[in-house]
Amino acid sequence: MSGGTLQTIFSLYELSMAIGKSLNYRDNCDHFMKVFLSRKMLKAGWIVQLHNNRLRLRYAIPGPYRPKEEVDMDFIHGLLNENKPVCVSVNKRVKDICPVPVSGGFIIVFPITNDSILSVHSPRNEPWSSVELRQLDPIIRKFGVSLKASADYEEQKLLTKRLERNNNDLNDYAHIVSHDLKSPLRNIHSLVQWIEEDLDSDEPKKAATHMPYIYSSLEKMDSLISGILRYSNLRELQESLVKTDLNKLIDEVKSMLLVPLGVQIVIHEMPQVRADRLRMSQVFQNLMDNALTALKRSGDCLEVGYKDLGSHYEFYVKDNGPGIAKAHQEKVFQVFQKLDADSTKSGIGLAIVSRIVEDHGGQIRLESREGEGAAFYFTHPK
Amino acid sequence: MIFENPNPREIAQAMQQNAAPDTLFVVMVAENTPLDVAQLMTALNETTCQYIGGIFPKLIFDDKLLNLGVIVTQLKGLQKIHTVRGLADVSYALEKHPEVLGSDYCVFALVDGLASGISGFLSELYRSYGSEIRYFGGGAGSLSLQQAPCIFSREGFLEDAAVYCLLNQTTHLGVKHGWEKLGGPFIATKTNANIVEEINWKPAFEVYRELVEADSGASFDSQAFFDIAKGYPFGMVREGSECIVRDPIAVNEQGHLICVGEVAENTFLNVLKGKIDPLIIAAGQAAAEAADQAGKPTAAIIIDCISRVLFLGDDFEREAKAVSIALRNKEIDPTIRGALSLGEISSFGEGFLEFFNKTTVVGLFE
Repeated sequence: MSGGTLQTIFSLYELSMAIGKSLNYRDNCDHFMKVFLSRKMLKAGWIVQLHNNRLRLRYAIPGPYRPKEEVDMDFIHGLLNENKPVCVSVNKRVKDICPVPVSGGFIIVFPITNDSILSVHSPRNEPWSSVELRQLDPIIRKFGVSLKASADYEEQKLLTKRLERNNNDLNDYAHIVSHDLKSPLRNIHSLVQWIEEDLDSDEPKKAATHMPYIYSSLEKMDSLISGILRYSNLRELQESLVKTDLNKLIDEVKSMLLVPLGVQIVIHEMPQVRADRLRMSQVFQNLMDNALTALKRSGDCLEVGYKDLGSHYEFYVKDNGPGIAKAHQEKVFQVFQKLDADSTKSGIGLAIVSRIVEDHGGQIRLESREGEGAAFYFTHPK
Repeated sequence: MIFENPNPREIAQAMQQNAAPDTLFVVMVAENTPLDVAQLMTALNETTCQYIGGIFPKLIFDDKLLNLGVIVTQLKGLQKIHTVRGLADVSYALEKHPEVLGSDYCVFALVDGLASGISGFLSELYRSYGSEIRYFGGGAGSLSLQQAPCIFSREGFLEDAAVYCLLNQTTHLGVKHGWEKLGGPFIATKTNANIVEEINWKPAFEVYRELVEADSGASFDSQAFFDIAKGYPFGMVREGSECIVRDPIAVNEQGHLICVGEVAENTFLNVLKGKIDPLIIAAGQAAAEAADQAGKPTAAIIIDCISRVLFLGDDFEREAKAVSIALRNKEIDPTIRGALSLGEISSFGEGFLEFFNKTTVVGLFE
C-alpha cells in the first residue's frame, strides 16, 4: 500500500472517530469540525437545516455574522437536491450564502441529511477532487446521523425538563391552595368572628376597625388567584418564532413602565433575535419592572444590554439598587416567592420570566450582592 | 526596551515616558531574573500604561539568548485587554467581536503554557474573532515544568489563565519548525488531554521507544527520557502544511507519554526527528516569510520554543543568527526580541488556530 493511500486511510479514520463525541449538538459539532478544519486546513464551517420551510443556521465556526434571513433559499434548495458533495469556487452568489466572510478558494458543500447541509471554506486555490469528495461523503453523512441523534436527545431532554417543571408547578399549586390561600382565608374567618363579637357587644365602631384587614386579605387572595391564572395560562411558544427587533420591543416596554423620579434607564443597542414577540416582551417588562421597584434614590440606574457569545446572546438587566440577599437568590425564580411584603404583588413575575427564557432554549441566572444592586442574565440561542 | 538588571521603578518610568492610550506594552521576564513580579506590577499599576506580561524560561534580543532580564515591546492600536481565568474549565465562552475584522487586526495572546485546555481557548478565540485576522503569541511558564503564576496584567499575576488583546495593527507572520517524519503513521488510540496513553492500541511508550531507540541508538533505560525525546517529537498531520508538533516531555509509571499541549483521541500522528541544519533553516524561513510581506514594521517579535534550545544546544545561536540575518536581508529595522516559550501561537488566515510546540514564530508589527 502506498504512503499516500495509507495517509488517506489514517486521515479518514481520524475524522470518522471524531464523530459523536457528545450528545450535546454544539459539542458534537465542535469536536468534529475542529478536527475537520485543522487537518484539512479549512478556514470555516457551518451547518444549515431546512425546518418548516425556513432555513436555520444550526452551527458555525468561526461565529456567524450574517443574519440567516438573508440566505438565498433557491441556491440552498439546489444544493440539497444535488444530494452529493459539491465543490464550488467562491463567487458573489456563494459569498451571499456564507454566514462568515469568505474570500478566494472554494466552498465544499456536503449533504448531511435530507434537510441539512454542511459547508466548509477551503482557502486552497485548487478544487477538491471528485475522489476526495467521494471518500468524505460517507463520513460526513455518518456525522449527520450523529447530529440527528444529538438533536433528538436534546429535544427529549427539553421535554423531560418541561414535564419536571409541570410536576413542580402542580406541587406549587397544592402548596398555594393548602397554605398561601388558606392563610388569608383563616384571617378573614377570625376577623369576621371578631366583627360578630363586637356587634354583639354593640360596638360597631370597633367592629369597623377590622374591615381594612379583611380587604387586605382579600386583595392578597385576589393577587394569588390572578397570579395562578397568569402562570397557568402561559401558552406554549408558537412553533414559528419571528424575527424580533429588541430595540423596538424594549422601547415599547419602557413606555409602559412607571419610572421613579430621578431614576435613569440606559438601554444599549440590542440585536434582532428569533423569538415569540409577546413572550419576549413579558421577559423584559417583568425584569425591568422588578428592578424599578427596587430603585428609589435619585441617580439610581437601570441598565439593559447584551453580549454576543457566538452561538447565543447573553442579555442582562442590571440595577444599582439594594440588591437581593443571598438567602433569597435561589428562590426568586420559583412561583409565588416574593422578596418583600407588598401584598399587591403576586411573586409570579420572575417565575414567568424563567419559564419563557427556558422555553426559548435559554437559561437565566441572578448575580447580586446586598447593597450593590442586582443583575439578571439570560441566554437566548441565535 | 531591554533591562538587564531590572528595577521595577526604572521599568515603570521608562514605560510611562512612552505611554499612549492605544499603546500596549508586552513585558517579557526571564524566569531566573532576580525580580519580584508583584513589585513590578505595583509599579506598573501606578502608571497609565496598558500592559500584559509573562515569565518565560529565557529571552531573545537580536541574536543573543538572555538568561536574565526584562524585555518590553511596544505595540500600537490597542483596543482592549481581556483576561480568561480557568483555562481547564471548558464551559466558558468568549465575547464575540461584533464586527467582521480583517487582516489589519491582530490578537496578541499569552497563555499559561502548562495549562490544560489551551486548544479549547484558542478555538474560542477563533470563534470570537474569525478567520481573517492575525493571531500571535505563546505559552509562558517555567522550564521546571511546574505550573505556577506566569502571566500578568492589571488583573493580577495568574496561572491556568490567558491574557489577550485586540490590536488594530497590520501584522505579518512567519511560522516554521523544520522537524521531519521518522516513522508512522500511528493513531493515538487513547489519550487524556495532554497525555498519550496508547498508540495503535498498545502502551504509548512501548511503541515510541521501539522506534526512537532503533533510530537514536540510545536507550531510555540508561538516559533520562527527555534527553532522548527532545529530538523525537510527535507530529499531528495536516494536509498541505507542516504538521503540528507535540513535545513528549515525560513518561509516567503507566507508560503514558506526557506532552506539552493536548492530543485528541484518535489523532493521526507521525514520530518526527530533528536535524540541526533543517531546524535552523526553518527558523530563518519563518523570519523571511514574515519579512517578505512586511513594509516598515515598528516592532519585531520572536516566540521560539524552549525545547528547540534544549535540542540545538550551542547551535541555537546559529538559529537566532539565521532569524536576525533573514530580517536584515529584507532591511527590517527593529531589532528582533522575544521569548523562548512553552508553546507558540500563530495564524495568518491560512486555517484553524492551533497551539504549536517546537516551532519558531516571527511577528512583524507595522
